[in-house]
Amino acid sequence: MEFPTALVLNAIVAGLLLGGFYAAVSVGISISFGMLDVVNIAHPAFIIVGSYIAYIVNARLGVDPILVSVVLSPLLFALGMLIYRVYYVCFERRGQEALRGLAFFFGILFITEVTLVLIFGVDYRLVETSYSSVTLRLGAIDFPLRLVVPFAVSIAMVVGIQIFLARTFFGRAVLGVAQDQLALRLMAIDPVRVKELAFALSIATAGVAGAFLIVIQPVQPSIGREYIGLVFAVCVLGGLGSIWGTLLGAFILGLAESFTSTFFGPSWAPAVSFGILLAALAFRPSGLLGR
Amino acid sequence: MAAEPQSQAMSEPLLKVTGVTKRFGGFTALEQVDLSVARGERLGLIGPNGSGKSTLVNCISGTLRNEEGSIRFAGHDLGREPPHRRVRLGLARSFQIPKPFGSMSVLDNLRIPLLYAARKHGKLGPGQIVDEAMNVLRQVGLQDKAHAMSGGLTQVDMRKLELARAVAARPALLISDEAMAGLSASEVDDMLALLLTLKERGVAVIMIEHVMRAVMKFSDRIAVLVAGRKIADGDPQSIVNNAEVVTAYLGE
Amino acid sequence: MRNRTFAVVTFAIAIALIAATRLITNDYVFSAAYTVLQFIVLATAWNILGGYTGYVNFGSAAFFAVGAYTTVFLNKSLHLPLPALIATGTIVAGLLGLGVGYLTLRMRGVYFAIATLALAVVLFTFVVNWDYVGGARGAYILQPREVPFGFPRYVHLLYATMVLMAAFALVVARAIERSFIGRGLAAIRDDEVAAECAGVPTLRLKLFSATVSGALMGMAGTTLPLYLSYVEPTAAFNLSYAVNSIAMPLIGGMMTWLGPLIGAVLLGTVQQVVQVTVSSEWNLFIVGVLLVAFVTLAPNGIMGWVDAWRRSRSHRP
Repeated sequence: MEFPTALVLNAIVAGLLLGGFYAAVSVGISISFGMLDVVNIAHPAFIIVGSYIAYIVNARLGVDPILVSVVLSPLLFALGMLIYRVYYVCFERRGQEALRGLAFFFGILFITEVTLVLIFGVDYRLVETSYSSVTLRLGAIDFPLRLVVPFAVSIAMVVGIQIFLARTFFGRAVLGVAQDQLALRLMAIDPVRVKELAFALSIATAGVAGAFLIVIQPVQPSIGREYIGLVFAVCVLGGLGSIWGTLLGAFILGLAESFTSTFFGPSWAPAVSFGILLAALAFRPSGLLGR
Repeated sequence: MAAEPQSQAMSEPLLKVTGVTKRFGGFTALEQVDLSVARGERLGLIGPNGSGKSTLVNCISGTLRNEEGSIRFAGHDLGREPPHRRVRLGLARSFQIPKPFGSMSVLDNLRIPLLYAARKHGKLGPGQIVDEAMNVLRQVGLQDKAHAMSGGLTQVDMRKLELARAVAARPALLISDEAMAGLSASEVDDMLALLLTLKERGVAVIMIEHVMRAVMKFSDRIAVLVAGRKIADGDPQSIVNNAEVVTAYLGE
Repeated sequence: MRNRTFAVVTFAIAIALIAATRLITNDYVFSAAYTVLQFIVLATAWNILGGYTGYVNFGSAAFFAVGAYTTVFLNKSLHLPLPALIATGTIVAGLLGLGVGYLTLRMRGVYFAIATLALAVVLFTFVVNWDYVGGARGAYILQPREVPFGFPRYVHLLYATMVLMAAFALVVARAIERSFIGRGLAAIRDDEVAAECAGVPTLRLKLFSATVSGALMGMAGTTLPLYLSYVEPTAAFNLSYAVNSIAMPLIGGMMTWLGPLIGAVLLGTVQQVVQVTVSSEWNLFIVGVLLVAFVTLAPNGIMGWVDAWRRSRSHRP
């Protein structure tokens, strides 16, 4: 049998495009879990919320969903601040974050999903954009724009965040809070405030990533749960606290899923991300580029 | 882990730390540290903040693993033994920042080492455990608070509980990690008195402290750690007169 | 009360509950009771690892489903009798708990929690793709025609089994809680490093806890296929199992065997009522809200209130 070049090339391209998107989806966890040590397993719920917000505005006003999500990101930012406040007061301050904090976020995840079901039902929703059905062709390789556009914006967002964290004062404060809270206090910076804003940022990125998601595929409330494994797999594999690590982990995962889907069928795809996560946790929990 | 023949065990010190090195990424916390403690000996371990004292304690107790060097205790090479096995061999420690079992009463806190660490001395029946626990509590002066929740104790009492928990494990060597930090003069005296009683029962003690008068009063011997290296090791007077030690401390 | 006495009393109550079935003619009551009993087992099992040891398991559904699908597999391949099905499913689920625990319990509790989430999805995907047990379409199980022990219908036998399982789970949980193992687990929960340095063999105890917890959760699932006569992945891996097995101990109180029992009975009953009067989505919504409300405002649950009240009234020396 001749080597299925076209198939492999397409799988690679699809994997990379998906990988970029996965990075956008996971960068929030890289911040909240990798740097702030907050196990926000409800992160995917906010992605889905972002998807639905984009969906509603797109359906009513016809505006491009990605544009919508960027414009409305302050909403999710504010929501993130609120949630962190509650988390901090109820759990982190009391040292209960391990058990109860986890249960708290799990509850949030759950409530969000069920609320979406109550409001929107379990049907798949999708958006129509000007590029939804456009596919560029380069030789034997397909570049569906519904993957390319989110990919481009994802990479821009992730790289932008990395630059923000490395170059700005606030960004470095976030990196500092991960390592030495005392030092921050000595510089008259309130670590709690820094964490609050950083967490809010992570939620905002989730919302924006949600718009990417609904451009790529139809969305229904329970999809969030499938992404839990994915975002943690990406961050653990890449190394917690490293944005470049998240990018690397995302590409690896995207490629793994793409190849599994192409050669074994799409129904095995969810097992890939979770399988990689389990393997990473068992054998190399510090990740590839971890701190 | 085979025990050495009797004669060697008698002449070998109780604790023998040889060439221990511990790195965290690019930072070397401990560099080729040698230390030994004889049975019943009282060793003071001093050094500026960040010199690696707690890291050394963690390596000895097993909560951290040293990259190089060996640690021998009671004739056994501790190797990769987990902390709980080291405790059962007779090596107990207290924590600098007290770590009480917050959901339990003071008395119940002591049940844990009595049930798990002290077992090698013979399994204790339930009545015996309470008696033994009360015994230890009396030694630290916490007998009146036996049924109080450990999470709500004062700082001083928590430190005493830390020590009590270590004592309850019936150790041959007890490492006390800055138990007196931030205490008032009379509280320091209380702790000191308690630690001194251990000598009477033949328990060796490594005391890590910054409170110099306690260290001077307590120790048979003092070792000094600076930036991960041991720079001095000898009787208290010679340490106090050691120029290098004085420089390292600069006013402490 | 000694463990033996407690066991006798519990099983006596169980027998009474089973005998009471003769008097009940309403099928719905059975179904509701079966569900609540199932939750008693799940909540109690979860709490052994969650409340006693402090390690959160988000994948209860995975262990439950393993019990269910072991039954499906064995029923189809070997036609084993009920006790064998239950025993095997329990053991398989226990081994799964041991295996997952061995891989992840050496790290922080957070990683264990995430791994359990991952486990549920991986197993779900695996089952969906496994045609022998029905895959996505599901599998049909025929209830045996002859009903032993003189029960009028097979469903009554399953109900009786569930009552005994609940009793068994409670006895086991209480025995562990009051033993030296239970104290060791509590020490691990309160401060694992301190526990280890006090001589507690933390890894061994955690593995024990994970194994028992997983086994009991699997046990709860073993009779599901026979009860429904049909099982398919989304039902067996239903998220409601995961949420409820966390919410019930949390609401009832995680420190003691009584908490999950109270939580399961209260929350289970509330859910049955809501499900019938409103809808199953609202049902889940309420569970989620209660979970968040309790974990933020009353983290020690109902038993926590009871304890605090008792302590404020006692005058201990």
